[in-house]
Amino acid sequence: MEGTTTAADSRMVIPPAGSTTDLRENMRVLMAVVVKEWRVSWRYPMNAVMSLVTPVMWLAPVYFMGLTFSDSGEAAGFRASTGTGDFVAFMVLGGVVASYVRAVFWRMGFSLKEEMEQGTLESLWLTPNPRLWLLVGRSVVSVLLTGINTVAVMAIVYFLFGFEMAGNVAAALLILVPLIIALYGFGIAYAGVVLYVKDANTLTDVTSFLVEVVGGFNYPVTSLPRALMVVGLALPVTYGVDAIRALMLGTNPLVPVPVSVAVVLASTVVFWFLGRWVFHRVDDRVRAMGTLGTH
Amino acid sequence: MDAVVTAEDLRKRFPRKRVGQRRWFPWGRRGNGRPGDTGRSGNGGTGSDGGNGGTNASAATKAANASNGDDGDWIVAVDGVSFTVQRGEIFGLLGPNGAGKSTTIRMLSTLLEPSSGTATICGWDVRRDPMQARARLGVVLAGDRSLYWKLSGRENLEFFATLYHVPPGEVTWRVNRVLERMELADRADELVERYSTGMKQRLSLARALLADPPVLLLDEPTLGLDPQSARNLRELILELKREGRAILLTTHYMEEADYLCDRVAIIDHGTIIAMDSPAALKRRLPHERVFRLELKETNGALRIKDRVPGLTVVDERRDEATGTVHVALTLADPQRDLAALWTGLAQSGASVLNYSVQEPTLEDVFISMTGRALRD
Ligand SMILES: Nc1ncnc2c1ncn2[C@@H]1O[C@H](COP(=O)(O)OP(=O)(O)OP(=O)(O)O)[C@@H](O)[C@H]1O
Ligand SMILES: [Mg+2]
Repeated sequence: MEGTTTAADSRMVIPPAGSTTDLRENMRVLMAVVVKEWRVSWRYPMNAVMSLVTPVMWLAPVYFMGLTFSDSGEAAGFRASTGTGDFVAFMVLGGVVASYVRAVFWRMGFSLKEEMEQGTLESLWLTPNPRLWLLVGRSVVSVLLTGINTVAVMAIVYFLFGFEMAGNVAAALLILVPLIIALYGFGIAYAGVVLYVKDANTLTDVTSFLVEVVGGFNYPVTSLPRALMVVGLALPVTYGVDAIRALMLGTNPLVPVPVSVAVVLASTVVFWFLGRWVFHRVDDRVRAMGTLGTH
Repeated sequence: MDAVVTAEDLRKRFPRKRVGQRRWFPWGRRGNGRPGDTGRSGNGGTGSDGGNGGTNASAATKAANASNGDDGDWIVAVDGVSFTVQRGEIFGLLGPNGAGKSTTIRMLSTLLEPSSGTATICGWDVRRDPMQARARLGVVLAGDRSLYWKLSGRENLEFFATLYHVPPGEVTWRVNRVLERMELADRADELVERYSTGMKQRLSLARALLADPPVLLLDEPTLGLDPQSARNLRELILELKREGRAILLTTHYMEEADYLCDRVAIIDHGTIIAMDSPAALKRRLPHERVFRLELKETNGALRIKDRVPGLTVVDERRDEATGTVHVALTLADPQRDLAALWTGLAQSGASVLNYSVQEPTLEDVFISMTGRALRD
């Protein structure tokens, strides 16, 4: 393996000129990040188990309380304010979107922070790749893991409590997909904020809780106090959940479904530009202030 | 023109954040030093007056900030550092804690943006073409937390090989090769969390070598290693140098710098106070050379002091057991005085049983230049 005195440069791996490598190479890097994240996630098996159990644990008391308010499986008051009496199905659909919201906050924010504290983030940042792209890799894993988790939770809930969904699944997915993309655009911006703000735990806790409260995942936004409702109505995710429910359960939508779709699509574009911008700003700032290595 | 690493007047200052002080908006005013930092051009008030912490923002800096209407207070970490590293050369940054060694490495590796000054890696400017620069760098930062502890050594390397754009067909053999080379092959499939400090350090170096980079930046590579591992690692670093790589390393072990480095920059309070080969640095201190003699007296008192004008006795000890005298002395001008010493000894009738010359160490160089010890 020796005798390489002169060849160090010629054998070296150099990306093609210009600062971005070609698409295939970028996809390879993306896949590597996905595989890495995937492996690391499964090496904490308790986390995986808990992420299945926790949503069910949250739902159970609500379910039994709901039963006491219901008459032969029909919650009349619930039907009056939402348009469906099947509150389990209502909450499950809300839970699908809520789990992505949570994933964005916790995986893009909190775990990035963790990686920063572990010191591995610097190793990533030292590789010749656009930093934003490495974050996108993270998002992909998050979408996958959350998807698997969501389906598993839905199955558990179905067997335990039962619910019915007769609506247009394809149309609902057509809203869910851009909604998720929008959420991860936001996630990139949030990742930037987390890199900058030291106390990411509290921030993540508070904001993700707030979004869950005002987003109307477990109840219609219209049942919130006016001030919170206004905040809820300012979040694109609220419209996404609303439209998905309208399509799947035939609930009364807040605004016509096409309007919600437009809101979601617009927010996809806006959040991704915002995400890029914030992230680059923060990255510049962090490199100037030297806050990456310190914690 | 074989310089693969250049640094020109690199400066870095950090905002001094006191507990409880925090700026919430990252897009606020950019306070990162403007190129024309006034009042800090010379070495005048910078660094030389500080205590031992190394975190002195000089009076000049404060004045400059005040005149800019800047209320901030800055830590000047690196203050006008210039050097080059050639292909096939080991260049060492030697200095006490807080001297600015790591900050320099971080600027070269594009993790930190210099406040001013330029640096290039193989001709690529670290600010304008950071990706090109990173593609040519293998970096080992201080500390053992730069790897994924929940992945095995091999998984770590495979992951980083892809991130360093090693062609897919080459990943396996390259990973195997660096594992072999770092003597980690037999432990490659264990989780890194089970590795010892030394193994983690070697794995970091293995990662740095994956893409076969022409430039290596090593921040305190032997920190925390036992003497044997440290020795092995030093041999390896020499081998990497022989392969034609340019190696920049930091250390505060002067023996290590002496042994490994072709050239050393002694850095203190962010400035390079001397830069040369270790031998040349030490030659600057001829009178620091200590001559040790073991003498057997034959006729009473030794009177060499009177016979050699430039001689100073540092230490004189009589060993009752053997009946010999141990003398340590320095000579003002060895070239001239050494002859006088020998004739003096001969005339005094003493016989020399043992004789040694102790070279000054880089530490002595540091002390003579700063008046402080390198390690407290
Ligand atoms: N991110 C940061 N924010 C503020 N100050 C910093 C930061 N990084 C380094 N410093 C300061 O800059 C100075 C130089 O630090 P640096 O880490 O470069 O020293 P060093 O020579 O590597 O020391 P050591 O031998 O202890 O590793 C120190 O005073 C340190 O406190
Ligand atoms: Mg250091």
